[in-house]
Amino acid sequence: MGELLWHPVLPFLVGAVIVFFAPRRLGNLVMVAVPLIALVQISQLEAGTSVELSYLGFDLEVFRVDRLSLAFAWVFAVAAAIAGIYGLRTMESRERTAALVYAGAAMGVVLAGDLMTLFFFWEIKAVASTFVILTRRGGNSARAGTRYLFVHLVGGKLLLAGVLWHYAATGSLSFTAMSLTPATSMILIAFLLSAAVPPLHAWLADAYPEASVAGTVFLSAYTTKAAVYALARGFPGTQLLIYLGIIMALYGVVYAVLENDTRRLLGYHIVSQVGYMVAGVGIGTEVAINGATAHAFAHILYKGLLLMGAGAVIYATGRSKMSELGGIANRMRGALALYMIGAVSISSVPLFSGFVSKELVVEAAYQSELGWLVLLLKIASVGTFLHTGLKLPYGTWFGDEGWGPRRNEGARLQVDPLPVSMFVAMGIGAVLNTVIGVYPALLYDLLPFPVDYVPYTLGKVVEKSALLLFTALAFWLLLDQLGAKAKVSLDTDWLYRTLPRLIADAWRRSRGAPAPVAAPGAAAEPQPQPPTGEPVPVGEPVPAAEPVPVGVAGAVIGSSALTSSGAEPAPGAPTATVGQGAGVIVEPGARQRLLDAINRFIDPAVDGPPPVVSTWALGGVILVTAIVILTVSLIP
Amino acid sequence: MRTGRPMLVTAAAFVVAVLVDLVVGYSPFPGYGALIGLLGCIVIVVVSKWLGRFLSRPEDLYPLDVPADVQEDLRG
Repeated sequence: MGELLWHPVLPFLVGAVIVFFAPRRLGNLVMVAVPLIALVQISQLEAGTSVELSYLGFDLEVFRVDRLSLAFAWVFAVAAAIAGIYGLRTMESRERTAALVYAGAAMGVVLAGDLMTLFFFWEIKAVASTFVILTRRGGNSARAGTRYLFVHLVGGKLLLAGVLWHYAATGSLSFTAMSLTPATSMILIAFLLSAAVPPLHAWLADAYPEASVAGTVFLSAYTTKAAVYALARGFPGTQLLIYLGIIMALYGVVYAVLENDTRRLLGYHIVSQVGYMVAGVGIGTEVAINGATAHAFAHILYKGLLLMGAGAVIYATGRSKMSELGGIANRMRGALALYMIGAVSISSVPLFSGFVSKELVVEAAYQSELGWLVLLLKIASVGTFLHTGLKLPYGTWFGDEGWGPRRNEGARLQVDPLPVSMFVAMGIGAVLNTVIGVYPALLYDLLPFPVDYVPYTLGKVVEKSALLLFTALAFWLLLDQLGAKAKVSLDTDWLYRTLPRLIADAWRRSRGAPAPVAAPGAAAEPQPQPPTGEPVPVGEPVPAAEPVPVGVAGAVIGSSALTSSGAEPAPGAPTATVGQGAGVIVEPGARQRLLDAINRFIDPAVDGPPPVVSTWALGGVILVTAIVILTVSLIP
Repeated sequence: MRTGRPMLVTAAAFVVAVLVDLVVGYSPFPGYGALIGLLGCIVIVVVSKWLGRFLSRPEDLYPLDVPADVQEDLRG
């Protein structure tokens, strides 16, 4: 039991409590110290450590250390350090608490030896990561965070159901490699959802770009990679995963072509890169599991660096869309250079981390005589370099404006200086990516199985260099095709963002309800209007201007949408939310407020400002319930 | 696709890549890596652009999201 004190989740949870109450400077110290303490703990852990205990009649292995979990634990702690330093200036105390709980829970997932402990940390991870998104408290974070929570709660419940069914069928909760049965299929689907496998991936591109700049760096490290760990532990060699992996790898690339938002583009590339890992798990040989682990390790490091670069642009300019950026390279040289190290790493340029990890997965496919997979993985890596190495930096820092300064704006685009802490964090990421690329043995020694792969041979380097060089040349040839357009892409999240509303509309029409009319107060909200200022190319499907449905209570709701859902207006005080414009002032009674709330709940099109308070309340209820149940269960 | 100088440079580089591959002798055939890079990139862009005709939507696809032109206020 004494070994439990070495569990790296402990410093994270203690730190999470401290940063919530501590003044900012102490909080800064904690954010740096916690991952360092965890790193010291991990360095003391030995493969084979195991702590078993009995709880509610279940035999649990709450702490299990082996080489696979150690590799993930190492990189999780390093990622927490980097992201924490990156957010020293920007993160507020609540966001820090959420981030530390999130990182600690992910650590708990990879060190869980049984399915019940895994589920426990899995759910904490889902809720904590939701709060990482919500605590940005701006943009679309509340809506995206709520959608993220619901998707992951569904996944968590699938996991729980699968675990209980598996337990009933086999009498074992041990988390080892499982064969596919109906019960384990549910567990597999839960893992796939968390690994962002299409079509269960839309939460990632939806929610990750809505967190704060540092929050996104945290998010990119844990959820998908913990799922990759779970797949590698539970389902190695499942052939289905090979196909899903390659679909992921290409799917992310295709959507990245169409994407305009920098962090969303990088989000689609998380899907693409996790595809390599999932394919590696599907191959299932020792080399392949090594490859998946190595790629997860390297991916956390370079994707963090890329998102820190994109976040630096947002911090400096306030913009995230490539169509509104460009011409700022001369004022962001440092960030651009550090970003490019991440870009060449993800593109697996020799001497950088991606080259020694991604090629290990390709090598595994080659050794398993999956020629088609090798070819498709190479094509996917072309797409990776095309977007993160060429299109994104070109569109963000250069664009039509070139090196800068921008010419086409009346006022120069303001570029604020970046805090030193951001440079430090990006510098650490850049150094680690380079060191791993130059000394791959450092990474290979951490992998679960012995590695006899030599990445640096003349042939491999020449072939990879030719591939990348000609990708760049093709980019040059196609430059006029690759300009970022101010568009968004339809993805599977449409199914839960728009389809329910369409069904509700159809249902309302079928009951002969009056045609929906935009409420006066709702006019300040962006309404879908027929595109007028923007020419639409012929042949492009134009969505019909959707009528804005107004709930049963009609205009009353429209106007009540102006009052903040959290702060109820003082009686008699005029209610107008800043930024929403003036509107009809109504003082709803208690009954009316309840009706409004119900309407707002059943009809997602009718609502006011982002329901931050309600989401916090929901999260709080879930948390308190969990604590109460835990406490009750501990009473003998 | 652009022609002129970019095309010339690409063609010249391709010849060099084939020669290098002949010397090194690692690839299945000379110019293997170069062809994957070149054709792969073109295929990805062409296919994605074609899919984009069905997938691209105006930025108000989800009307309740913050309007797209609010790009000044992502800080903080």
